[in-house]
Amino acid sequence: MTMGGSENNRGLTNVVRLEAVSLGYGGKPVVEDVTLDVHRGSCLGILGPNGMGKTTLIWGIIGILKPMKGKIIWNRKADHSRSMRIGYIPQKERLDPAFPLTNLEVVQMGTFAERPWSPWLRPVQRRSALKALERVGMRHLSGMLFSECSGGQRQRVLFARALASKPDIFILDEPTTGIDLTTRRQLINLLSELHKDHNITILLVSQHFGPLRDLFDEVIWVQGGRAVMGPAAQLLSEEYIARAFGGFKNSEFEAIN
Amino acid sequence: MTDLIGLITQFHWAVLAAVATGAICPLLGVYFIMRRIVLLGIALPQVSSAGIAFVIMVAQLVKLQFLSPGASPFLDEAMIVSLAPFGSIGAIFLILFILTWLEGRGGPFTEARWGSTYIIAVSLLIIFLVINPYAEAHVGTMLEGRIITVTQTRFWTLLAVSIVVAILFILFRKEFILTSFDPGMAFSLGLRTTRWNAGLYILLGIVISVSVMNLGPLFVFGYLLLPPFAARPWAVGMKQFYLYSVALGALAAFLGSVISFWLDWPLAPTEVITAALFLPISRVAMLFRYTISRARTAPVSQ
Repeated sequence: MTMGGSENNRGLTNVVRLEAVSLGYGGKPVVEDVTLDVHRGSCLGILGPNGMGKTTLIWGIIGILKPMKGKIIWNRKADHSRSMRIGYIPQKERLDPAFPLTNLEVVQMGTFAERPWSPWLRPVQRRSALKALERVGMRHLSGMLFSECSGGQRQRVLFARALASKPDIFILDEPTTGIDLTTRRQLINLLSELHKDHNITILLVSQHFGPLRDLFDEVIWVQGGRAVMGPAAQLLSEEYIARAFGGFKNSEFEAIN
Repeated sequence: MTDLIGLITQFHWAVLAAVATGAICPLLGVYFIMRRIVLLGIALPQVSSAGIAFVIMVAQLVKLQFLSPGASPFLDEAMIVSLAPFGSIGAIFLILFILTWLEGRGGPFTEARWGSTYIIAVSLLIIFLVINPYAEAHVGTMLEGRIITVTQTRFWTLLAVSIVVAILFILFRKEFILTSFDPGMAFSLGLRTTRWNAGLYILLGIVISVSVMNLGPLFVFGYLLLPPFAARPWAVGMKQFYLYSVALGALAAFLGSVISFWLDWPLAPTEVITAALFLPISRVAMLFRYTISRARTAPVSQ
């Protein structure tokens, strides 16, 4: 239902464009009529209370969910796999510990797109995975089981996997939930560095935006089936949130801030 | 001892078939453990058995309908052997097609679907065996998994199918592991998870169909589950998980054959119990290793 600037009127290149998109499950929409643009090099926060459709929105952008209505365009193409690389970091709790994968094996998954039809990994892919692990300070644990790592370590490994995929866009789902303060700070610094120094586009879902507030250029508020997009400075103000969502109490704002 | 070696030599095709199946089933069985689809692993061998019983029942009923006076009412062995793959593979692929389609539609009742598949397959199997008046004479042998009746031709067919499946599995293991471990990441790389799941299920279907026809549902389910289950605590990395599971499966199948001939016990249950023995052995060995490593790292008291 809302409103990012289009390519024409803001002079920015879109990485992803959603046109009147509705997404949901079993025929029931969770978010409806969303129109927005993700601009190249921007850092966009998808924020809002729990269970309101933030993850649903990024699943639509990644292609896991097909739109019930509207269309999604990646780099002016209808299929993202042919137009851009996505470095996706899911909620770490979604990954099953039954898999005896080492941290290196998890990170190497990020390099699969380099030679999609080859069953064997080249040494350069392994080196690239090790380099990514080194960047997040996990190289010394490359041979450790992913399932035996702490929450913060797992998050760093998933971050390394996304780095190893050399993405055009990072999509992170609740990356700071359930991790210690030090790791959280490291991840935010790394994100900030990628965004500012390498101009990588970042799409980040979170219900706690306090520590991430300085990172965002723009914000999408998702609540009650609606998605509202605008500059972070404007949309993260308490006044705007209260006005836009009518009935959104101060205590709720504090809880997620 | 001479008798034992004599028996193994005499039934070497059966032993080789058990070892080959004991190796290929765990290779795919690791996915039953990792994806937590063990219930599907119980259901598919039963679906295969019901499919075999169905086609043989139909053939038997058709034969009885057109039976000339004085002719034998029994189906000949060649016909049973040629019909069984159609029943087994047909039933498994039909069920996998339906389950994959339902999985693509989502919903929270996946396990209930597998459980329903199992119980329906077992019930249909019993009904087909009752309707077929000569079922006991020939279908029973196949379904009970009388491994001892495996012939040279059946062994080579089994081996060829196992090798082809193993090669396909190795070629596409990257895709199978990624779509199983993290479907979201797989999607972001452009992999269609439903298609890769279907591919994995097809390989499972082929192995289970061919194995059930030769070794029976008990052996097949036992070897899909037990060797990977015993190997899992020892595996650090997927390569180790595959290798340990396959090695344990092949070893257990060979030892099971020897124990069965030695004690004159039925092959399939003995094979399964032998594989099951590796579970406590694996756990005890793991405990032993843990105790030693703790003792080594514990500070020395003054």
